[in-house]
Amino acid sequence: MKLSRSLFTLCLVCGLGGAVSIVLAMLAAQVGYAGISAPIATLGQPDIQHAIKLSLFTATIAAGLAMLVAIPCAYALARYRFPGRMLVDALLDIPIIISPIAIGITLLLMFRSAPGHWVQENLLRFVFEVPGIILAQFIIALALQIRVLKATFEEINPRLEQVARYLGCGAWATMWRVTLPLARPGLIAAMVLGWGRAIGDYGATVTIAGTVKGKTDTMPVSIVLNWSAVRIEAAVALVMVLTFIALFVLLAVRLAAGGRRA
Amino acid sequence: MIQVDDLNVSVGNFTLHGVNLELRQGGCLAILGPSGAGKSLLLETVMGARRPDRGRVLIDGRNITDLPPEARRIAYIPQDLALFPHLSVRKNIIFGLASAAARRNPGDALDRIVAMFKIEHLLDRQDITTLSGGEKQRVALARALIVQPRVLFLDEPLAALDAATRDDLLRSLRSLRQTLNTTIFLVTHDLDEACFLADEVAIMMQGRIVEYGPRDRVFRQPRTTAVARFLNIRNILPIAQLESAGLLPANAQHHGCTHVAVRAQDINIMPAHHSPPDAVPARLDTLIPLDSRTIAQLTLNGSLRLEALIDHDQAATLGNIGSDRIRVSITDGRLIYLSNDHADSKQETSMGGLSK
Repeated sequence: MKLSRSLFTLCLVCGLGGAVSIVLAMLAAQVGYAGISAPIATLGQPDIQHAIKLSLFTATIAAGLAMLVAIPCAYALARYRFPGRMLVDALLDIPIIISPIAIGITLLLMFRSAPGHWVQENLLRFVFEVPGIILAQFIIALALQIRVLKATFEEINPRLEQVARYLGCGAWATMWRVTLPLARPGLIAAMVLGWGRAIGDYGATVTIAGTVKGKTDTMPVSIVLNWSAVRIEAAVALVMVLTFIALFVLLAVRLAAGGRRA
Repeated sequence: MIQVDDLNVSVGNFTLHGVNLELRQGGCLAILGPSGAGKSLLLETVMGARRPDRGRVLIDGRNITDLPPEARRIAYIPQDLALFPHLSVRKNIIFGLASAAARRNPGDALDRIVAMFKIEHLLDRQDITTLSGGEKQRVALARALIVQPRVLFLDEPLAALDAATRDDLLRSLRSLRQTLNTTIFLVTHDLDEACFLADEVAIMMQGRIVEYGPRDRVFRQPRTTAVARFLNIRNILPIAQLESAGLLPANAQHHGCTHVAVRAQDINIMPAHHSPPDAVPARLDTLIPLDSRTIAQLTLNGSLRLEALIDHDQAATLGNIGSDRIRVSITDGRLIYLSNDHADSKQETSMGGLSK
């Protein structure tokens, strides 16, 4: 009995220790190869700064816009039963499953169609432009945000909203005064996860916006460009920035989840 | 005044059939019924959460059937109270005040309501999960009543409370009715709750109102076996069996009824040598002591089983007499004649009209 319990604990420690070791080894490899000072020095270079600024800008706009769409989508899916709901739910999950490159290709094909061409000519140019990056990141972030928010809204007791309605709140006021405040941890988690996913996207971005240096080179694109040009310190510097962003995102999500009320 | 006319609602395979109800200003109507009878569906429809397929709801003579819930000036307290967990006690209570300005400066309205429920000391509590069950109830009542609703809807409001807190709140609700003249629409399956608060009672079964009228009439004179069973009347017997046991008056008029109900407290047990002439022999099978009284299980005529409720002293005496040396009688005027369950559906449409 005692041996069995010790073996069980050993398995847990080995699994946890192994997984943490792999991640720590990856982080150590970044520092071990190029050191700290050389990559930090490259962060001052204009092309690297452009990549960081562009990524921060596009990911923030994309994740923010995606939230505006994700909130009503997730709320409708969480609260209402309508014909075809399951199909709609599955359709909105497609961007999570398919490769980001496939998303990029699909967007390119969309803009080759007549309506897409008209949009490009008369409204806004997306292909090989910054709005293309935002659109690709928007789609990547949206699916993830809908998932997180749907689960959040499903956790909120619908009776709280009903009581608010009976106490005189209309649908908008109920959303504003009850639903969204109760969903705050989920809203923060959805925004941060969507933003993190958007800032790390390479496949969809590179497919629709290309690798135009000084124009559409986000951090992941710039990492590939610098690596190809054997500018290892620059690539590692950007990898470090992305790693810090990932750590920030993951801690922020955990802190938001910790604030969630029972 | 609230009036419900011929309300019909269908949800999936379940239907509410032709519900007619009327509740005067300041009155309390209890909708009683077993689980799955359609009580909550009726409540949701009257409150405006569901649109009826047919029928209408009027408050003070105005047809509000098509009004959204927020425009009805009502208040609702569900079983779980649904206090807002992200708000303090104060913000919960003033939630329903119409404007942001009124909420910023609630003034007398808040002072009056917290004084009424004696919850001044709770106002600044930030986390409502730290309140006790009774405190939560009082906060929920204060939140509902601060908006001066035309009707207060209560859905099993005291179900989750311990007995002492429940009694305390029942008394508060009763005095509240008298003080504020609040109209209350109560849904419950608790007979004591309905008995204590309501002046009108409607009993629902399988989506129909099967009995409706003044509380005392419904509780004392149910009309069908199903309602009598729901009211927890222990002795429901075919008339023929009671006749053959000699417990029915010789000249009794049955009016087409098939069964008789007798409450356990209306069955008198006595030693054979002290019995009146109309008492019949019985055998005492079992005595089951409860907290305040004892249930005596009896057999008459070899097969007719009855239950009587007696006090503990009498139970002790009976134990000494011997199980086959007793007689039973029924208190005069306490026989309740019932039609059988099959007649329920035929009677339900006329019940409301008859009793009003």
